[in-house]
Amino acid sequence: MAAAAGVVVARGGANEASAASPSPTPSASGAPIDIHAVHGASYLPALQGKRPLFILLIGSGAHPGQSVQGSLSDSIHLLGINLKSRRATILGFPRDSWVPIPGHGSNKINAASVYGGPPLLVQTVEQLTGIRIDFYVRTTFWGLTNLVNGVGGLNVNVPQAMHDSYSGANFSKGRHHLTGRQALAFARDRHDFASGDFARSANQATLMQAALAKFHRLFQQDPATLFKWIAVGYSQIQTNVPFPMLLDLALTATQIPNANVNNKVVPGGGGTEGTASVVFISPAARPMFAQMKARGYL
Amino acid sequence: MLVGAGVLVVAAVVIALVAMGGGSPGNSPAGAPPPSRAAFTFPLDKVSSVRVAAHGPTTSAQDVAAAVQSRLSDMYGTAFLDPRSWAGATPATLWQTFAPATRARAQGDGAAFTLKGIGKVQDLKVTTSSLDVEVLYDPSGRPSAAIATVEFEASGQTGGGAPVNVVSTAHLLLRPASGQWFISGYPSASTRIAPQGSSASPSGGTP
Repeated sequence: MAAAAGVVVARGGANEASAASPSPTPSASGAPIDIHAVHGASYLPALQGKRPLFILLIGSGAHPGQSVQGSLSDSIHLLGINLKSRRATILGFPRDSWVPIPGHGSNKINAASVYGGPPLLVQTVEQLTGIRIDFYVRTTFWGLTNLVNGVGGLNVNVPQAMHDSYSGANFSKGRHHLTGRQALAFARDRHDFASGDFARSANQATLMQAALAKFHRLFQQDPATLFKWIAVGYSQIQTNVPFPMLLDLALTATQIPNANVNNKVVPGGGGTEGTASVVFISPAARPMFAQMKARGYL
Repeated sequence: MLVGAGVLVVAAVVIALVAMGGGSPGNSPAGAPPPSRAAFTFPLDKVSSVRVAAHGPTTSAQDVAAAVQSRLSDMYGTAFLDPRSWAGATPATLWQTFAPATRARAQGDGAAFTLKGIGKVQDLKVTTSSLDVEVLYDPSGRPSAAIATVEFEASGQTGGGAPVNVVSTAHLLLRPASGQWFISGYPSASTRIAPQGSSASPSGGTP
């Protein structure tokens, strides 16, 4: 880098972030020298591991005033993260999926949390997919509302017009900035979609992707965003992720590009079981589960 | 016998003094005492905290910030104001400010934190500096992490005598271990060197 007297710095190098225009400065001998240099670097620790990390994301259907304990899970997603390749998939399970629930015969998957809370739902998904789940994170209707409001709303591409009095969704097709309440309506609406529960599950993951995009953007502007988001998130979730690991997870999230996050829904078809309208998971889901287990993403 | 021992002691002291002065930094004229490192402490501009639970903090944000201030003042003083660094031999102790898992990476990125990119300088004096610290508390009220925003500007002369400005800025993520705060990551860090009179505005690395 440094050279003979007078000539001070060469620009460039592995750590160079940018370099200003050279600014010649007269040396003692009168010859111009270039002492402009910018050396920039960035490094953030991230979770490491040979096997992928799996987190079950649970949206409880409990309304304000209702107990979360024993409530149905209206939204169930398995987040897989390949820590090495920094790729991830959010795999949604239609809430009406008819599955075996350990110790309780077969039922809709969302009943598992009624019988045994998040631990039984985790066990149910593990048994269904063959994937060992590391952690769960659960929030509620009002938790989601507060989360979205807490981060200042989310920008979402609404895939089609949504006008549903049940959920309160009322959006034209296109990009919208959603408040917490609007985000909840967007996440709950299934009546506007031919694929019903499947589209709803995908929309719920779309919200998560929108949150990741916003987190990336704000973190880049101000790294202290990390703390604010952790505080907002922690106040609205129940989880078995140890607190120090939440910070590690958030740091890992800063390093997973949005383009590396897939949004998939377990394939299946509608049917009835007794008098109940249910979703039967397609055999095509098996290779998806196997692939997810092996590498953490699809 | 006593005289002999006294001579030995004096000789040992002389040898020790010479050894301490060995590798005399900068361009000190022969016989002149080597320049000493100027005292430096970041002014603590802004301290804030984020809590995730109602528990009162076990250590105040101000105390955490003071500990971070001490660590980073020592680090930046070593990097930019220590005559050994001016001579191109940044003391290895500087890297102990980084967590063990981050240390090798930080050394590889050394030019963002030190004078490595400029080579030798004759002297540098701080012109402006600032430090903001934000502390994250865990659910039990213990400080869990801190983000320090650092700005450090100094001016002086290169080894060749050219006037130079050095601007070093960083966002540093620190976490506590064994009663001390260590840098475990740096969302952005940069050191910019420019001739005096030209703009040497901060330019961060890519978060």
